[in-house]
Amino acid sequence: MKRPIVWLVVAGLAMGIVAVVVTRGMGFSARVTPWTIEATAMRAARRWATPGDVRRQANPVPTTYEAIEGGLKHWADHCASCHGNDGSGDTTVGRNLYPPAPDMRRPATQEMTDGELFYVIERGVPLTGMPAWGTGTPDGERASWELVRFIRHLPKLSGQELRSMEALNPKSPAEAVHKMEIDEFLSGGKGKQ
Amino acid sequence: MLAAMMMWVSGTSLLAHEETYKGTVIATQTAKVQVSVIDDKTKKESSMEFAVTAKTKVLRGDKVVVFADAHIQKGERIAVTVDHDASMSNAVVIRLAAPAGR
Repeated sequence: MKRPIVWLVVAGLAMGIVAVVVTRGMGFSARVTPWTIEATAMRAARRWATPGDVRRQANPVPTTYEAIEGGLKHWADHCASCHGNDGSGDTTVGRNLYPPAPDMRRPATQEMTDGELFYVIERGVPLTGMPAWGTGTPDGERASWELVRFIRHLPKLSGQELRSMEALNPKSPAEAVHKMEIDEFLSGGKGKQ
Repeated sequence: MLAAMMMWVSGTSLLAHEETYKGTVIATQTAKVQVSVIDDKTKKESSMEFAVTAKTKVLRGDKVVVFADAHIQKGERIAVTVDHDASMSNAVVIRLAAPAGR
């Protein structure tokens, strides 16, 4: 009985040593695509770790125009820099994260329960680019639930909604100056070329 | 603290990897635009060609338009933003002046 356990420990140690030797200095990059097995295992682990009562929690915010609009404004201001206004994750930051920001219009996100989405917004996801946005206040929780409503709306976003979000996206002072220079150039001014 | 650092890194990335070329239109094709660009440092004029893809956003003033409906004229001023991370020649955003009289 003892011998198999000893061999198992020895094999584990040997694999560990090989892994250490092989991976030393091999380089790393956040640009690589996670393996399918890795992504699937991590999603399963996240689901496994989410408390059951949270997973089953229904969204207390009703599906109203105001709730979706509230979520839209919040998304454009806080989430779009990584996830994109359309939820595709196709942004400079979103593409280059490890794992990259997911396309939230796809089933992997849309099939999550409202409670799971809320939990991720509030608590973040360790070892990813997703921070915990929860403030522990009723207002903060309501904002997160509105975001859940908006995430459900992502696959149906209209062109008009996307344009209204662009006006709400935060701009750094440098970006504002950059835009002003382009506008000046296009309108016939000298601008900085 | 980590969130603040991420925000800072994000902001830097956005500025570091996107570049906007300003110039005048030489020619347009179905999915391409050729632009005469003046280098800011050398003041040398060069011709650059940008591919217009399904992901390219075309702005006529503040209005998003389809590339074919932008009615880009030869000699018109244009600003083309590319994302060096994705492609050196694919236009991410094309900006044009608002139509006259608006």
